[in-house]
Amino acid sequence: MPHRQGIPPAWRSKSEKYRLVGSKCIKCGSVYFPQKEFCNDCGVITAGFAFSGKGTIESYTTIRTPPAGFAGPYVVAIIKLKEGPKITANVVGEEVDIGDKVSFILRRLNDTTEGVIHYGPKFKKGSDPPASR
Amino acid sequence: MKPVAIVGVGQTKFGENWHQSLKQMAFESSMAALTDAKLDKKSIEALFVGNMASGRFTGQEHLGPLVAESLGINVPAANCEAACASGALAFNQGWLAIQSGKYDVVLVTGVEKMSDVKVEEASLSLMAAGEQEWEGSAGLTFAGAYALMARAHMLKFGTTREQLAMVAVNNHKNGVKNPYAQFTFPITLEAALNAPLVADPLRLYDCSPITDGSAALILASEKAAKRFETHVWVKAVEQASDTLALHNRASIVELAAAESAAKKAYTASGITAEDVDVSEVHDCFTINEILCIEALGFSERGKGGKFVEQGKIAVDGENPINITGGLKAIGHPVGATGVRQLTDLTKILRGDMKEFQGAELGLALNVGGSGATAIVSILGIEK
Repeated sequence: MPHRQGIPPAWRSKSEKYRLVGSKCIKCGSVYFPQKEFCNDCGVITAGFAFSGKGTIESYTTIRTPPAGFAGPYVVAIIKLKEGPKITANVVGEEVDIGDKVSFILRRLNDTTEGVIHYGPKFKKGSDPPASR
Repeated sequence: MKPVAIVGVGQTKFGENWHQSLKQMAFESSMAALTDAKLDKKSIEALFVGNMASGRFTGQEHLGPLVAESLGINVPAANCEAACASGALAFNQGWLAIQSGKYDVVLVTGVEKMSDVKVEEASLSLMAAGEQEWEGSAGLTFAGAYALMARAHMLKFGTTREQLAMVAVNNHKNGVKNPYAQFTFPITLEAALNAPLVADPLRLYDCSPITDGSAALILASEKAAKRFETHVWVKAVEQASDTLALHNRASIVELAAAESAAKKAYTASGITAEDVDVSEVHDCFTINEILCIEALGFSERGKGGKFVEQGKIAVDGENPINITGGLKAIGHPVGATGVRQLTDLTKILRGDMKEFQGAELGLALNVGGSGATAIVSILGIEK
């Protein structure tokens, strides 16, 4: 099992991965996802910032020969979040294309570790994220 | 920078080397380089090993002294890791060690043993060179990372599936005559276009294979080089970095680190892209040969596919690339590849390849990960 699926890494990144919380520079307003403690440009401290979960597909692929611990095929995409930063995540469901609008959903991931079920971010087509998350 | 010469090269056969361990392969290529240089192993003053992931592929770390031990020598030894650019990183460190004035004769050995684990485990280990929190946890593979770049490049510049396939066809054709290559069979364009999908739009023949192998070379200072019969001179080695994750880059349709390293290397060696007679570029996936062509300034940005289609990369073309088969046909033992590119380039410049004579300047571009490390080396027959 991949090391990254252990319990402490899942716990450390829970606000990022369950709620898309990144950070925002308290001086210039630059936003970061994943979060950064200090602004790249200003060097000043950042504050937590929840992203809307809305984004656009910049590129995507369907993985047909997955690595150990994954069952394919599945779609991996680079998603440009509405607020600017980009992330890599799975897109569930129907066919996708570059330029498609997608929104964040929380999904159970493929493996469990030591009895703990891992949840994480995926995206689905459409611009309406679920009301509560 | 001081002149440094490559005075001996060697390699093992690349492929599924069931009969050889990592240590045996490193020994074989290092001894071959020593024999080629007509050098006693006792003259080696330092050793730089290039290896990406032997801890994951074989459980073995601490390769510097392991390779020294295989040769029965006691010298300062270090392992150098930069994903698939580990080989050129070891070369760069060896070159810098001679530049420092501390050493005159240095051995550089790249090695990787990949076939002792299952393919899906190898795939996971290779992906350790990508960003883990997001790319890794989404199950992205390296084929997938290059597929993301390929799809964006195709949409933005009109690069075609046929152009990608032509890279594979060209490199397989060149590998036929290479006795060290994993694959010595030609492939047709049709076969490449219809091969099974690995990560859309990349298919089987767009991907370099999983390979065992080792390559080694001996570097000598200008003073020490006088003792050797053949010299190919290192005119520049330049390295640059980019973000590990593709999503943190401003653009995924270019290799910014490779472009930066190339510019520095052209400046340092006082040459331009047009002066390069022959090159070894990092075709881990067909799209990357196209991205490398653009980053090196052989074509304009976005025109790399067209460049391939026009036949410019062929052995008898304007800009011969990967004339010994590239990673695609020779195979891609990730830590060895960067050294293998330089051993092949050295042999080509020495005139060892009967069908390719007269080259005076050669360039190698070794890329780590999806472009987070890029190392450009320029070799020449003159200092």
